[in-house]
Amino acid sequence: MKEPFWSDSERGWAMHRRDWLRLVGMGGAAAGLGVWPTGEVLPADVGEPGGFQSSILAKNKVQENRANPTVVDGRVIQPQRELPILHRTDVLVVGGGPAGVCAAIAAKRAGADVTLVERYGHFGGLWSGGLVLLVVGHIVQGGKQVCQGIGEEIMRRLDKLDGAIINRRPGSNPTVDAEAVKYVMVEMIDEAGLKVFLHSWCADVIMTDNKVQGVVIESKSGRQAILAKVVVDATGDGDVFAAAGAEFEHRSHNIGLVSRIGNLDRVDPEKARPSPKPRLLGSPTPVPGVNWVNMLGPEEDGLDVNVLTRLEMQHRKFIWRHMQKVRATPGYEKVYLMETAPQLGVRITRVLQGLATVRLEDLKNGSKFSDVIGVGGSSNGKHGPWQIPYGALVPVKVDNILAAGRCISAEIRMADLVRLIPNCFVTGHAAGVAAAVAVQDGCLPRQVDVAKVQKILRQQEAYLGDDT
Amino acid sequence: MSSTTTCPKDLLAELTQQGQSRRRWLVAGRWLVRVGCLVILTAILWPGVQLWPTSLQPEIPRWIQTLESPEAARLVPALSTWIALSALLALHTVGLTVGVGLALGLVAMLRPRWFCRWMCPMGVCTELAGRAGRLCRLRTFRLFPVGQWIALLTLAGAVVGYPLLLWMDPLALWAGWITPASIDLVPFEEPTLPPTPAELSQQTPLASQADSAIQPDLAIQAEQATQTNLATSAEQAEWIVRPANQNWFAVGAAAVLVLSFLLPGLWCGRLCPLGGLQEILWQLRQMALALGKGLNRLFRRRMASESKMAGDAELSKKVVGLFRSESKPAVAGALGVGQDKPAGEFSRSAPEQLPCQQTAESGWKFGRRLVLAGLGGAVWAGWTRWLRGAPPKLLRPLESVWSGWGRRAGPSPSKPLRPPGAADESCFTGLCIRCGNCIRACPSRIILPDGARHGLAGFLAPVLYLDKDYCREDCNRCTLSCPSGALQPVLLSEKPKVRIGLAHVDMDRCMLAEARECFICRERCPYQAIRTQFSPITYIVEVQIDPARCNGCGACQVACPTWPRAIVVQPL
Repeated sequence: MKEPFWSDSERGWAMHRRDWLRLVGMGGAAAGLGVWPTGEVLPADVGEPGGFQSSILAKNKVQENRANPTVVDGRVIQPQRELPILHRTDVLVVGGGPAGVCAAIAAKRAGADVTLVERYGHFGGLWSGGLVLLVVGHIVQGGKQVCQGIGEEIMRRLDKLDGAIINRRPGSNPTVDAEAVKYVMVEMIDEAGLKVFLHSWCADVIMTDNKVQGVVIESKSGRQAILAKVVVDATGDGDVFAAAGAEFEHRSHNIGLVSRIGNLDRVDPEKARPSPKPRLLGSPTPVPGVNWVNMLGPEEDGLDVNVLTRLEMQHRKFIWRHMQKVRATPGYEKVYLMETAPQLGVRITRVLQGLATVRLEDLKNGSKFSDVIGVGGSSNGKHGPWQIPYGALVPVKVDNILAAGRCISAEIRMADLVRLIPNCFVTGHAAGVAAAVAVQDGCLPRQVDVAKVQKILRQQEAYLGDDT
Repeated sequence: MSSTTTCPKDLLAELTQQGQSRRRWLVAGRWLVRVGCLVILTAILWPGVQLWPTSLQPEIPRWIQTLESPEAARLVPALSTWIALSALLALHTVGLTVGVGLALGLVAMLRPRWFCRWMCPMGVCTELAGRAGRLCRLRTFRLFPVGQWIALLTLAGAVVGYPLLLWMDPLALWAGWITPASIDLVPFEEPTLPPTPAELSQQTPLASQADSAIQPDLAIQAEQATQTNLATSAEQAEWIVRPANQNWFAVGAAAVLVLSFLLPGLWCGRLCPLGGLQEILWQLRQMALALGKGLNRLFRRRMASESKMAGDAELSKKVVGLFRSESKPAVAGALGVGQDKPAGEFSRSAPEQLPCQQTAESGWKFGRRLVLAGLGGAVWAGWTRWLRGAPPKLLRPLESVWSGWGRRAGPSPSKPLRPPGAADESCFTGLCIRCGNCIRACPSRIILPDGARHGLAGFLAPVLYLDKDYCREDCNRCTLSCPSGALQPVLLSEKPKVRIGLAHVDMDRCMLAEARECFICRERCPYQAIRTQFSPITYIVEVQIDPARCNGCGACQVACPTWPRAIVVQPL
């Protein structure tokens, strides 16, 4: 029996020189073959980039229904054209912020066919998109909560979620998480079964004489029409009633940009000195270590695109540079800028001139209205409840349109109360119910039986004051 | 019996039995008037006392209704000739109520110590106390007329602008005790501060999240809470008023009463500056009469032929002579010293030593005193005023005694915040008689007596405490209630222009610096003196105060939700 070439009974583990050389030679040849470029790489080895499956929907397509404006004598003229009708509905709510979402859900629950149009890809408006996370204005002097109904339902749903809301106690102002708000609103809108168009900007209003028949939306699908019996303007800026020719007040207000900063739980208490403490560290949010930082900003016109552009850029520069200063403070090195709000914090622009007006005098006197459709709260429990009359939602001349949210008819001294999130819930809720009632009764919103609206609002758990 | 001093006819009648009984009636009547005065003057000073039922008010003429107003309260200390004269000399202005004091001064020239005998509420009490003391066989002792010296010293101080001892006026002392007796001033309360880390760690994580609308980030703030607490009290001490106990107001009146009990008659007879001043006025009249007598003689020599004039001169001679011989019991009676006393008792303050008597016989002696006291007062007042400025090194220890005693350690506090219409700070503490009228008149109860924080000179002088309430734009009551001119009357229409202080903002403490939407100071300002303006440099909305509009009423300070307050009214 031949022994293996590496075995040697006399010398233990030893190799003959020839065997050793053979071994080295075979190994070297193998290694050389493996490394040596053996030729071109075949295309089939790479596959398609990304690996997604994309399909061609149409080839050599030309945009249909074009009617491009042309320059005539130096002026840009838009030719007449027919718009495709995207959708027909009873109640059309434009704007998916706190007021719009409440209006749409309320109208749906009141039995109407409702459509909601929103310009961004999420609901909640400035509440979520503007990162105005602190909910102020649902309580009045004495701690009573006047914001009930659908707004309170949203808050309760947030309360059930984990990490969606903090400081939700009686008499306290809670802070929410923006993503939780977006989620809860999607959930509620789905449950209600609303028709929704996101990423749709309301570009114009369809009018017959003095009556609004629907709106024109502009989206990636182009310019399309949505016909509706009643339109609720919850755009905040009053885009719809302004386009319809209703009278409004044009106001300026502070325009800021809110941001969120993180790692505040990792501030080193040993290095951080009590003063000078970095400024603008904001207030806590449901996310641990994350604060939301408000900004007041300069008082400007929120309808001017030049202003909005300038402020957006200026604010972003400030926020980043300020955060660098914070990070340069001893102990605060780990704090970072998490995000800036997708939406610029425009506080007030257009305000409707309605049949009635929310006035400071009425707040001071505690006036009661027979056509009350909601009760507003104060910003920090500083004063008593104030009733909102139905007339504040109704334009003086234009028909088939109702305002909701911060753009309802209100004195300038009341602007900072009307624009608060809970008060937007309240006016949105009322506008939705009133629109549904107008559709069902086949009448104009201004002719609506307010008693019926009040009855439905109470059924939907809205608070309209103690006495009735 | 007062009428006996001037009219020889009454003097003759006094000798008869008829006169004796008449005198008794006069004594009884005088007591009635004095007690009546005491009750009425006290009622006027007492805040909230209605002199008549509300149902009657529409029927009562308006000028009588004003008796329940701060002006009436002002009238009470203003009855003092001494206060009126001092205010006149110090301020070089004629106040509304100066006339009352001057008129009573004129009366004091015609009737010796008329005010003491008929009106002084303090006098009633001291006399009763003195009688009680005498019943307990307590004795007084002889003393030179200190009251005259005090009066002159202070008047001389008033000329320099700092009437030094004006607070010793009996009417001021009387008005003083009413403050602690009638109202309850709210003492200073420390506000609740953010919880310390130790407190926070005991709470559940959720509960430790304070109301985010008001509190900044607690996670960070809590770590610094202990340090800020210390810093807070040191910083706040600069402007927080630490009021004196209001019971100090009663100490003066109580001391006078005790003194009158232990040494009967000493206060009224020798110490009371108002009594002293009335004596001086009486002596001035005597000097004038003596001068008149001399002139009369001169006149008589020239017109010797006219018998009618001679007769007049005879009469005037008789009057002066009569007074000289008879004034002793009269004045003694006025003081309640020589009257109704068992024989032999109270012999140490025999009528012969009464100041009127002494000086009426030797006018020049009085003159020397006048000069000495006047000079002394001027020097003293000038010295104190000078010390309040920048004293030379040598005198600094003295300055620390006078204006620094009782001061808290640490940085020297600024001027105190005075009520509206206050006279210049250099003479305010002198002019203020500590009657407490302004404190009682203030409906917001924001005027408090100062402690010794701004030096002993400012003890019990009124300071504004803008924490619970502010100086209302529709109120001028304190300025109307001041009898001494320390607070000049302010018309309601002028109120916006009468500057108490000026609001200052510390943007490091302001909620706006943390981008919290609080504009409460601007909202609450009654004079629209506050603007909020975004600053592109600091990138926050800043609070700006218009010094032309701000009168320092403190509405903003009261409303400010931060602690330490971001907006604080500081003296000008």
